[in-house]
Amino acid sequence: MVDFDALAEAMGELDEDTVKDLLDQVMTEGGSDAPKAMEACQKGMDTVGKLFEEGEYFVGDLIYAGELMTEAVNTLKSALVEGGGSGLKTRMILCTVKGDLHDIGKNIVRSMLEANGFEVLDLGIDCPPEKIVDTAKAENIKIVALSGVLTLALDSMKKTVEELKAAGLDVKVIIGGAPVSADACLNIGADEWAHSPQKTVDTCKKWAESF
Amino acid sequence: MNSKEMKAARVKLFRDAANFRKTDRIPHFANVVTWKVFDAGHTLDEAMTNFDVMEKCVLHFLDKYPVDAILDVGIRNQFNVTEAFGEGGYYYYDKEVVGIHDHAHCTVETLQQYMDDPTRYAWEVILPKKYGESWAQKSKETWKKTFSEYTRYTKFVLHMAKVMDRYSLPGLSPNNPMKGAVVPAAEELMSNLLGIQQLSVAMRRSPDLLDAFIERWEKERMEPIYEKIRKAKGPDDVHCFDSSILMLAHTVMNKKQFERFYWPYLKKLLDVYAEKGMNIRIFTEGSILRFAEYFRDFPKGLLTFHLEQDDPFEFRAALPNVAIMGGMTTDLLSNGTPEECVAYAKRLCDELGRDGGFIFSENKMLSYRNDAKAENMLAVCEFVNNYKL
Repeated sequence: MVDFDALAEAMGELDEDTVKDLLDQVMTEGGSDAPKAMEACQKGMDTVGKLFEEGEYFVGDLIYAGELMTEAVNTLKSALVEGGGSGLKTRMILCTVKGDLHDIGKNIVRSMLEANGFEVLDLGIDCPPEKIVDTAKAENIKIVALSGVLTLALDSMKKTVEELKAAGLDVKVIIGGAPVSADACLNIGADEWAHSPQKTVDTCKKWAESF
Repeated sequence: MNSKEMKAARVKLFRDAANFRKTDRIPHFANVVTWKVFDAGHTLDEAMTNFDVMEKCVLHFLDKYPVDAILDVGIRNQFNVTEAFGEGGYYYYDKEVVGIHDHAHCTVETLQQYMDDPTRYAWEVILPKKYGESWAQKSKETWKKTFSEYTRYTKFVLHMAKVMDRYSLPGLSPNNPMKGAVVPAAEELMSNLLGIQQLSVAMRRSPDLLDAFIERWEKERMEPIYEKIRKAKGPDDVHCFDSSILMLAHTVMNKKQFERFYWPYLKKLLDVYAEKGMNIRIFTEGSILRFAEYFRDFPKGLLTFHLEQDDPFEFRAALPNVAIMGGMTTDLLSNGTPEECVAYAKRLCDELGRDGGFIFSENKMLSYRNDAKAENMLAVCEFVNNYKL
């Protein structure tokens, strides 16, 4: 029987070897405890978030945590599918906005969001506002995360928020990336802004809980 | 004052400000890149591939806006040379946008291969990725065209250096003594070899490999630079600074990682410059305030931090020994009124520059059409140029 507290602790400490060993043990024992293992990993991710807030971890640690979580999901995937998954997930949109082709930041945020239980509809890079609006309508999305690296991304973010509002969609929008700021957020009309993936995750979790 | 004297006066103005000496006005270093193309009524695709158009844009900017130095006179990101050789996948541009795709040359798994033989790795991995598998078999015509474009580009660079002289504008900093940018090992790993994702993984999964890389980089790349700096006569008298480096890798590191992979080597470099009484401009991407404690003991005059995200007033309180460059936000330049921009510029000059230690600049490189309104830029440039302390 796997020690799930030890698994959560190992994930929180970013101890890759122990996480791998314990997940392998779950699968060797038949995989029926995969949902419990996922819960333990997500508990570990909460610890990662807490250590980030306390200043012990930083962005590189969040990226590494995302890697570990992706590996964990891959290890447990077959057992999770058989067992019906690990519960309902909040679906949301994530993309790099029109005119900006950078995807590293977006991908990091995606892996962090997924690690924290979100189902992310990744619309890719250079994403026009109309595609975001159409997807939000079609998929009944309540959270949209817009990423950008270039300062011109701010224009695209503003246009996207305007079009979401014009379409009458009741969505929360968070903007992220190097050029965003409190002033930019105000000007764009977004609900929140973030430089760190952790703030994005925390904000989206808070929103998801309020729906 | 003739052109040469005017340039010398500007160099002195920058040097005095960086050394916390009182000046009669605040110098303005224009952190302007391709925004000037739009302001001149052109589009990026015209200017990035045509030296004549780019020169017109530069002259338009210099004739219109009174500044004391400028980051770029149109020589960054000219694509003719690499396009002549058949490259087109690393960057993109059109009328309104220019950018570089995210990419890195190595992974954690291939870094050792690079370290074993960097030249071979470049030949067999990096160049094929950039120019295609058959890059070494390009036709004679392609090679000739590439060299021809390279010659044209070199002539343009030399020509624009003369334009800068004509406008009495000093350059930012000289090349380092080994003819290239001064790049600490952590920055080479972050910006060229591994990138943000793989560096983050490597710091956790393969820290000893990174240590080995850094030690080797120090020995082969940095030690010769330290030696040349030690043998230099002293501060430069034709540039704003003696050196300029970029810090980006700290934006992913926690403190323990910074102390292991970055700080000891950065400190060594800064100590060598300090020995010679030189001054360094460090462009800090993201925030540097998390690491303020490491820079507290350096003497005034050594360091000028060009701030991207940090609040300059908070920074001054945290590091009173470090000069500040920047302050003017693109948020305000793009969304504010001329009156609001000038009021903020005045506050920056009054609160940060009365006793030296402040160089006015924009916090981000002005690159795109809406990074600043022309009327705001003009109001700010004229204010800073005329404001007497």
